[in-house]
Amino acid sequence: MDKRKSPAKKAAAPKSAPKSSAAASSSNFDLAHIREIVGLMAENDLTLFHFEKQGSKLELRRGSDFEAAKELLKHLPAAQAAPVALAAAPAPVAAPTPAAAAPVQAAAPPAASGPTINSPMVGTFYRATAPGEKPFANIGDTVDDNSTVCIIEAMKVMNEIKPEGVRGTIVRVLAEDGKPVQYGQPLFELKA
Amino acid sequence: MFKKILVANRGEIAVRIIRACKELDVKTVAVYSEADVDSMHVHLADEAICIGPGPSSESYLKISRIISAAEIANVDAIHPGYGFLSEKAEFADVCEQCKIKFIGPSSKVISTMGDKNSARATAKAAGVPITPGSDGIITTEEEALKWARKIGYPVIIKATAGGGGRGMRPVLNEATLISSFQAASLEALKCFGDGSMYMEKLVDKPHHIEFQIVADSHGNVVHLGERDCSMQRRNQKIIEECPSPKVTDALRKKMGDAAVRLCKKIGYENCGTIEFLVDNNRKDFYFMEMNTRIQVEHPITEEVYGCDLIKEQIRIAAGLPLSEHVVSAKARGHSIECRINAEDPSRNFAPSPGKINLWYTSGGRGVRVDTHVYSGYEVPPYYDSMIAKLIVTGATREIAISRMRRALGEFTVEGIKTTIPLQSKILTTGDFQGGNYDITWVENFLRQEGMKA
Repeated sequence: MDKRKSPAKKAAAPKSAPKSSAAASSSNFDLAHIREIVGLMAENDLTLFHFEKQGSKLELRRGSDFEAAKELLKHLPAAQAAPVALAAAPAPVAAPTPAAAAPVQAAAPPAASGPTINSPMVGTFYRATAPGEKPFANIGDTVDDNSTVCIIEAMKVMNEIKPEGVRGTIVRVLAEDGKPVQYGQPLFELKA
Repeated sequence: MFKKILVANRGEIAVRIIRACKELDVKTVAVYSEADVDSMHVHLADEAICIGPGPSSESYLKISRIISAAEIANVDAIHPGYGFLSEKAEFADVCEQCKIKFIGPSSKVISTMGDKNSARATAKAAGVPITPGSDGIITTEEEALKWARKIGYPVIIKATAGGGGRGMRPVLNEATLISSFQAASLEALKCFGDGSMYMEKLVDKPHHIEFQIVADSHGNVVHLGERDCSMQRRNQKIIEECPSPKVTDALRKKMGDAAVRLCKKIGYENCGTIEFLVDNNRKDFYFMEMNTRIQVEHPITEEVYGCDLIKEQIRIAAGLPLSEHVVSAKARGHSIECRINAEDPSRNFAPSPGKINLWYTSGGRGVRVDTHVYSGYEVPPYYDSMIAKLIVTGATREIAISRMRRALGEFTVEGIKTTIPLQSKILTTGDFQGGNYDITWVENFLRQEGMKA
């Protein structure tokens, strides 16, 4: 099982990437069920799953935008602390292990094509000073050496992180708020 | 027993520690530099966290990053291995403050025994013989001159913050004393950040004999005999053996008792090694230093005394008493270790990093290989050059020697240069076979062979 992330390498792109998008209009479906269905779809090479019952609706499409799927899955009740990306792509990380404590590093997001702001330390990544506060940096913001883009908490110290040697416009947030990050891990992708 | 341990090291010792953890059902967290992303310890651990770029100062020596990794992975304990932070009292202290168990003695003990000068004073107070030497740090050249005359040439000037054979200068006569003192102090300042020096008598043709100590948190302290590490090139060990061909039962009893006495006096806990110099007369022995960590060459003691010292370290740190089989251990057989380094002996031991195309280790009865290397592995240039330890055990010293020669003959490494040809040669010499070698032997041998010592 390839469980460690290499900041120096690009995350390996899944070979035949069955990507899916999910639309769910209520909280009747939990993540475990959806993941199961996605797995079955991939196994049986299905491209569409549509389920309606008593006002609840779940639609899964295979082969469309991976990022949209991630965003949608975020809005579902997050009962488990499972890495979000595992629901769709057969990422380099193996099938989700039902361990109570998830592996430290998040599942690899698809490789960044532009320059990235990487973590200069080991710790926990936060987008804002406190829950509910405005994030330091959002998609579309232009940042340079003086901009604080996030906080990384290490040993009880909240470190304000500034981009080192890169500047540009943020196009993607690569790390998850409140999750551990390791040295060199890409945090933000900038416009290429 | 701990649930999860972070291994604050790399290479073969990290693999060694992870293996011990697996056998104890403890989860493991590896930390690695960007240069070690494909390293074996990363593959074997349950979790792995990158802590920096290649250079050790930016990764394996970065206390803050290692502690951060320990916190985010929620570990109970940290095993520091050897080298790196294993003898940094500051690191043990930070672990203590963060309520993460440091697998080793307390930061206070590390501090006391880590300062070579205060360690000598402690040994003296415990009634352990020490080499005649200065009563503390020498601050001026005048003092150095005075002490040298008092002790009597030849002397050796040593850095109090030194270790691993670095920061020392032998002085054969008064003509070179001042310049050696100045040079040694400057080197110590650069290497260890502390230019304080002390002086000892240079023992004639000494043997480096060290004793393995195991102590738990319940006051039990035992020694597991000695290792002879006299085969050294520039103060770096290349071949070690257990037991020493030079130590009689009577001497072993005296030295072993002294080692245990010292550890009890300082309240030592966990595994440690006391290094002695033994005079050529094989009667006089002198305390040299104490290593408050597991040693590279610990496997030869394990083979002869039938134990797993790393597992014992973990058990002791978890509060368990010494294992029964450790307390009652008796020496059986003879074990020899060759440190296989990625170096080219024919080019003044120049480091030989690079890709190993073919890696075939020996096997068979009494052959043990501790390594992190595999076929296709790329030896990085940032770290020390040791790539494997070949440990061979036999019922007698003769059997062990013939087995080691057989094992070295099979050991195949293609793509880089190693010290295997040198060690093979040494094993054939009459001196080695007769056990007649002291710490000057290797350099004399190399000169005879026309190689740079």
